[in-house]
Amino acid sequence: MKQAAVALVLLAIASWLAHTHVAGLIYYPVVQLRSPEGLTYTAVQDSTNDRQGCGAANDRFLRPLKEQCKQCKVVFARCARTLEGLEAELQDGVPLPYHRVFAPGIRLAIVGSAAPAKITCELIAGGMVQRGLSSAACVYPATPRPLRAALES
Amino acid sequence: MDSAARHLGRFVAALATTAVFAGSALAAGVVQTLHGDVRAAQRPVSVNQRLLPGTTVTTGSGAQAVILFDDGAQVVLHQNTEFRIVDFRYNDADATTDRSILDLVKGALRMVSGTIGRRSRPAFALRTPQVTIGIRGTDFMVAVVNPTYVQVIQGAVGASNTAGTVVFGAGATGAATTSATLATPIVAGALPPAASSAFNALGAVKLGYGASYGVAGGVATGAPDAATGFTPGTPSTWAGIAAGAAAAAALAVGGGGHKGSTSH
Repeated sequence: MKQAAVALVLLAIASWLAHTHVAGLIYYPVVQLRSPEGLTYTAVQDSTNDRQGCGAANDRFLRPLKEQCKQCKVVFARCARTLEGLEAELQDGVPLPYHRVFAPGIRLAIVGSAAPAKITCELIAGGMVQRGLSSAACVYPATPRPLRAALES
Repeated sequence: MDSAARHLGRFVAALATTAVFAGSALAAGVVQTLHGDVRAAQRPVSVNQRLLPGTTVTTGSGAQAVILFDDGAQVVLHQNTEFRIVDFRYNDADATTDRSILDLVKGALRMVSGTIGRRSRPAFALRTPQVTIGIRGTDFMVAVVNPTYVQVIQGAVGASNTAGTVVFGAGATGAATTSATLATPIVAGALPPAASSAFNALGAVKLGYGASYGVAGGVATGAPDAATGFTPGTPSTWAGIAAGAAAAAALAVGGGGHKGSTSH
């Protein structure tokens, strides 16, 4: 009887720990797309601690896109536990050599030829405001540091 | 001799008429209303006076002026403002020559865009020391009190500098601190008193939106870019991404469960 009680307590503790662990997890909705113009878009949305919520966030992003851009190819849509590389830099807001769209809840990098990327970046920011957002930013690529400055640092 | 004098007189009259019409063709706009000390090229202006490209208009303390541009755009100049019509070209029948480059050196103004803002968006620029304002069918206000502040009444504006372009929609207020840092959205309550009082005064001015006023959200069309010639594919590409991103952002703004802030 005593052993059963101990087992029950241990089970309860294990359940609580597992719950705490899962509840502590965060998920980043990340989507990558390719447009017919040859531009690649990587979108990172704000993290959520709900796995299903993460999937819903990706769906929310992709649904109108799939309806309006049949030619756009979804490279991947996933819920990342941690971000690396471009996705992490995008989320952190560090200067990048790409055009980026910033708006509350979402950051989007546009990789490809500079001229089309700039125009598309501004169009997307404008389009978001047209759809009711109060503001959206198209951030230009960070200017590469001059060679001398890079060597001296 | 009399005949020669008459011919000369007619020639001079014809020349004068031609010069007047040429002047009209080159003019950018007309002073619609004014009160207080308002000067163009350092000389006092009068109502209905036409203004030429290259003219700097200044307003003194307590003064205000409304300029009606030939494309239907209206500019209200607040007191203690210096505003320059750098370049203005408008031909109703030929959009390819459209150009409206304006400088707000200091002070504040309100602008309702006209035909150029609607049909030739890239041809319009309102420059301040910190940002260049591009319009998208708009009624907006700008105050240069270092930094530059912008507030949108209707439509949308793009505030561009070397860091990027921030598009502000109706009701939004933004600030651009330097020419190398991205403009940022701010709450209207954060405006400094100088900008706040200017916007209150300018916002109270009754302006008749002309027939050419492009209404809210006349955002980019996907037309070829004048500078690069690049046509941004089918509008569905960027429009689809914008729609998806807007849906994601709308939830974040509404506090729908996302964590973290990605204010720009």
